Amino acid sequence: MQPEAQDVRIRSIITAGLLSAITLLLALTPVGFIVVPTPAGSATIAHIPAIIAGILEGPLVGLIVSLSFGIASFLSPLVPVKDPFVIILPRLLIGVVAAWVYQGLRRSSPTTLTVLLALVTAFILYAAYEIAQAYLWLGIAVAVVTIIGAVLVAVWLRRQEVAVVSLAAAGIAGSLTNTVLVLTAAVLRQIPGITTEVAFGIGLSQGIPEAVVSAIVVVIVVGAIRQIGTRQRGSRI
Amino acid sequence: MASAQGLRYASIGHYIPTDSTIHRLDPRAKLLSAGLIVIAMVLATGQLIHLALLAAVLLMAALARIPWRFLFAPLRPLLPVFAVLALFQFLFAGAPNVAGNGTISLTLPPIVLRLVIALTSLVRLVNLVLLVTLLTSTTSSSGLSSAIELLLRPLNAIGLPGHELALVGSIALRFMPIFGETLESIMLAQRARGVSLEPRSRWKLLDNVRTMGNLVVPLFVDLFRRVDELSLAMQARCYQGGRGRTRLNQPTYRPKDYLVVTLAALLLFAVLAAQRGGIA
Amino acid sequence: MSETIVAIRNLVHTHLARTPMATPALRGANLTLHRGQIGALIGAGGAGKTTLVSFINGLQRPIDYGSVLVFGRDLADPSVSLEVLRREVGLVFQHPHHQLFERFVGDDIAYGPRQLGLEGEALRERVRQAMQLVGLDFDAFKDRATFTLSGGEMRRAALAGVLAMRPELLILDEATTGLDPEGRHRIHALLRRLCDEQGLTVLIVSNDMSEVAELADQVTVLAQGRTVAQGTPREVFYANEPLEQYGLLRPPVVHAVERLRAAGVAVPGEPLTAGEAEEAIWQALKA
Repeated sequence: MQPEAQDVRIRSIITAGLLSAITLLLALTPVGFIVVPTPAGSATIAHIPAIIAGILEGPLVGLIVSLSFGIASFLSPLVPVKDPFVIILPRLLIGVVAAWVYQGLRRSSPTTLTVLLALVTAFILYAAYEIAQAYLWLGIAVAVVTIIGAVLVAVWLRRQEVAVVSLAAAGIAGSLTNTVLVLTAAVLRQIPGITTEVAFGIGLSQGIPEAVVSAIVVVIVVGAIRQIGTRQRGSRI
Repeated sequence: MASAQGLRYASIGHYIPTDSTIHRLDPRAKLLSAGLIVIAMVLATGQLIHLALLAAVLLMAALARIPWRFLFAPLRPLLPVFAVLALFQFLFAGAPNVAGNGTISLTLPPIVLRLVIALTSLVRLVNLVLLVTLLTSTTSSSGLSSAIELLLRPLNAIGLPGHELALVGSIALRFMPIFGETLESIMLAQRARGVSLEPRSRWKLLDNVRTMGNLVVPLFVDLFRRVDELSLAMQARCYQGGRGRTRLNQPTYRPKDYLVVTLAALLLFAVLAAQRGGIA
Repeated sequence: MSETIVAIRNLVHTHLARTPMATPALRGANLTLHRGQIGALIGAGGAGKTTLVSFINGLQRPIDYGSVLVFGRDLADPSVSLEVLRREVGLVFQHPHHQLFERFVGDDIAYGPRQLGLEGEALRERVRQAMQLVGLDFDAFKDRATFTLSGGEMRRAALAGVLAMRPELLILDEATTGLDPEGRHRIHALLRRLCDEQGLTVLIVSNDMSEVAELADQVTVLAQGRTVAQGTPREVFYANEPLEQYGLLRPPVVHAVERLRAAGVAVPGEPLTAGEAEEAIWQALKA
């Protein structure tokens, strides 16, 4: 039996509401923070429900949960900036981007994924070249990290299913949307203390670990709920 | 990772039922006023304005009879963050934006000026945190959710799903503490089977993510079970959206609610006027 | 008298102490449990059952007043390791999916033993035994995805995960609520066997008075954070002071026997299970 439109609507509302509840919980209490090896010492996972919302329920539910994340960050005492154009608006896209990336990659072939990885790598290397014009060593460091990362990801890609790769990609994309857009908005809105250099520093030191954490958590959670990634066929017992 | 008990002490979002005048205000009035005051706090730049706003928040807290240590408790974990920000301000604040709207004169020596700017941004952050704490500690979550629903109602008129958004909001507020309890229960259950939830060294990223995964996987499994149960329950009760739905407790504004919103609006206008006029 | 496993004396505990939300949770709770016994903790909702249990499991230390001794170790003594205690006390909760997290059932049950340092064939054997105890076939279930199990299977998997740690004391907090009669019966038989054969001590927290009457050797009644009755099920359920005043119902069997007696049928003894009652009523009617 085809579910009625009204039923789908109720389900979406409830899913959005419950994922928003977890977002509030993660953003406003210490449980949503994970210890990471960066200067700040911790990374948030509060944006992950928004990414999962986008992946499992599509861009609209993703958008609503992202809005909840924005509002939660605005209310959070841990977020010192209180400008809605920086804290709420850019975050709306987290779930949407995650949804698009997941839907776009889900049915692609491993070859397409490899080509995409090459394109992303090339783009970052170009950015590294630009950075190197201003700060030689930073540029070189970014380039080296990118190449190592790309090789690791390429090896991993060959051994994983497309579904798992798209989940990880959606996790990374959603997380980077958060970092990049919020910092860009902070620089544009001239938030005191956030100069372009500071923004780059925060972006690299917070954005990368958060993206990694979010990729792993998204793969674990969605994998467990939707039984995605069955290449590992059984327990290790 | 917080201890299981620590969750209950979540700094913000804890209702403190002391039943004061402020507690008895209509939640809509409180939410609207808080919104207006937040705008004032975000827009204001002058030092004296921020001090005045601080005084206003403290006065409201006194009226609400919120014990001081609960009002200030959320600030404690933030102090290091604030201190670093203030230091940034002190070191990098550009002198020019001091000159204009509503700030003290430029006759002070630059070092003092920088100090004043840094302290001002500190006061602004403190103000915002105190205000949000005040709102959530004087308004129950059910009050907040019905306020959101009623305030979003006008969105329906312009074709946006105001009712649905409000429903999302009230489900979120309603279930946040429930998921807090669920998470506590998961932590207890996991600890009881020998899972250590204490964070290891920050360098053991994978271990820490796994620990986190051990908690969030059951949490999300729980969530999607609840989605199934709640959808069934709402379909069974023939939920048809917001149109034509009546409320059991139709809240009504009383004169003092209008008074509070008006006062908040006046405060915002006063701040804007002070900025523009260069007073304060 | 055999070895005392749990001894809680006059335990007082306040939730959210030193805040405006402070609520007294325990106001003088007592509980004693001996090796090999099945104890039951009953009480209306909010009576403090789960709080009391969290002390036994070492999730909290006594801070306000009173003493908690588990395996003869005083939890107030800071040198007593709660981590070690948690490994010796197994706890199974009402919602099995809170306790599971690995992708595959086998890995999930192996989680605890792996933490204890087991590996290879020893680990495999430990998991196989635990699964056999709860009636999950090792080969059929070890590679099933954890969250595709049915409710009853999940509960058995959670129980197996705890049993695989070989606890000395097992606490089941509403862990049979919502199980079908057959599944419940299987768990009861398992608990009884583990107690008799391996000296396991069990504490069940339950709202099902028939279950308590059938299974428990010893019952503790908690009301508003206070222990108001302690004794064998016969002593507690046939006491002159009715349990109703604490918001509890007596087992239907006891209720029926008392009504028959009030109606003048001289039912002998103090039957607790349906079988015992049948026999006793038959005696009374024959006489």
